[in-house]
Amino acid sequence: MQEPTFLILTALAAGPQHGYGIITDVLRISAERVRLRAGTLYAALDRLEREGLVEAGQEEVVDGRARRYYRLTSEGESRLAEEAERLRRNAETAASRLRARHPRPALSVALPGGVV
Amino acid sequence: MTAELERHYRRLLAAYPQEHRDRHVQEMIAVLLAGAEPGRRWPALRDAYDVVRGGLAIRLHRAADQGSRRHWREAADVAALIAPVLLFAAMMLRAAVYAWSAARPPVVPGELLQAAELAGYALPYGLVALLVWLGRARAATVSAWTFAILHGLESLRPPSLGASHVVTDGAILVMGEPVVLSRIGTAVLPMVLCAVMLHLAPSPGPAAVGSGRLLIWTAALLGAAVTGGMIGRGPVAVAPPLIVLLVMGVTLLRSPAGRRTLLVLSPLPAPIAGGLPGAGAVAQTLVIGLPAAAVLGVTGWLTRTGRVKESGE
Repeated sequence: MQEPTFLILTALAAGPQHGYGIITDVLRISAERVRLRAGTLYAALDRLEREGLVEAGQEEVVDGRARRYYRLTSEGESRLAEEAERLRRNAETAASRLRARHPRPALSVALPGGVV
Repeated sequence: MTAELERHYRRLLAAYPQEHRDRHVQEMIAVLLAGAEPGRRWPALRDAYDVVRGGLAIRLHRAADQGSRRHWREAADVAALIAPVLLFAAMMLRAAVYAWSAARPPVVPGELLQAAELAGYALPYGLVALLVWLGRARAATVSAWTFAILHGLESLRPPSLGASHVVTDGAILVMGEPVVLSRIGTAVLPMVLCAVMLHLAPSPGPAAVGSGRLLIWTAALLGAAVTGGMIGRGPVAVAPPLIVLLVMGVTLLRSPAGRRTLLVLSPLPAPIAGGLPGAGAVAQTLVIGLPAAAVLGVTGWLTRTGRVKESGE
């Protein structure tokens, strides 16, 4: 799963959101690192909808602007959970190997400020 | 100002499939406008690029859909037949133009011989087309590769023949012009394209278009090519076959498999027209060969991957 996809699913895990809401949420989740553009977002939503991970609701008009809410399906939920678990295991492995590389006293020097 | 920006965005959204646009155009416009900084009249270049790229990505996904895979297979099947027919007609046109001018007095026997030789170079394509038509796909493929290799060897042969011209596939080389190794690319390309299309097609033949209609097209195309060659040179000679091609094209545009057929055949016009005027042989091969490889690569992926529910067989 690519990172933008993962972040979109993560954004929707908090509850249904409309297009622009997803963009701002992804920006927040990724600490301003991933700024989704509309074309990328809608191509991803189109694919996720077809894969059954995301569901689109009815279009509604708020303040003269059209918006449609997207929500995570139960299949999307389990895929996201799987992916989160996989990433967690990878991150854990990486962290434990880094710890093994540096004997205890060196850790605080090698990782100033503490990474985890 | 917002209205102007909105208009530009709407134009960019043409990159999206109609059915997607019908459903999402309003909300996408809203998202795009919400993301644009105030006072903007034109979309930022990166946003414009992203909008178009997203549309093309969605189109590509649609193209790879199961339903449309069947159309791709049909398109590959027909294209494998139309390709050698087109090349055959193009080379017959060339032979006809040459024969007609050679037959006018003063008649030089050598020139007539060369017209016959030109027609001779068209025959391999005719044979490949015929084999495909008869359902002998394997024989057609083997022949196409054999002819491609022969063309390649032919292009390596030094022009030390008795005739005043050495005629290679698609080009007349005035004697004395050095034959370079790089010419091999342009010499074998048309036949290689035919061969590759035959490999891509699951069962090459006229099925999707209908053999009756394709037979009429082929006869009309050959008739028009020879007529064109007789009534004049240059644009006049090309006009009758172009009219037939136009009718074929419009008919193909009207069906999903037909539109895909046109796409699969898109690498052909360049080698038929003789490629870029003035470009070197290597540049020529690259300019024609790389897009052709891209088109045929995508076609191969679309026809050869994915499962399609097929009845019978």
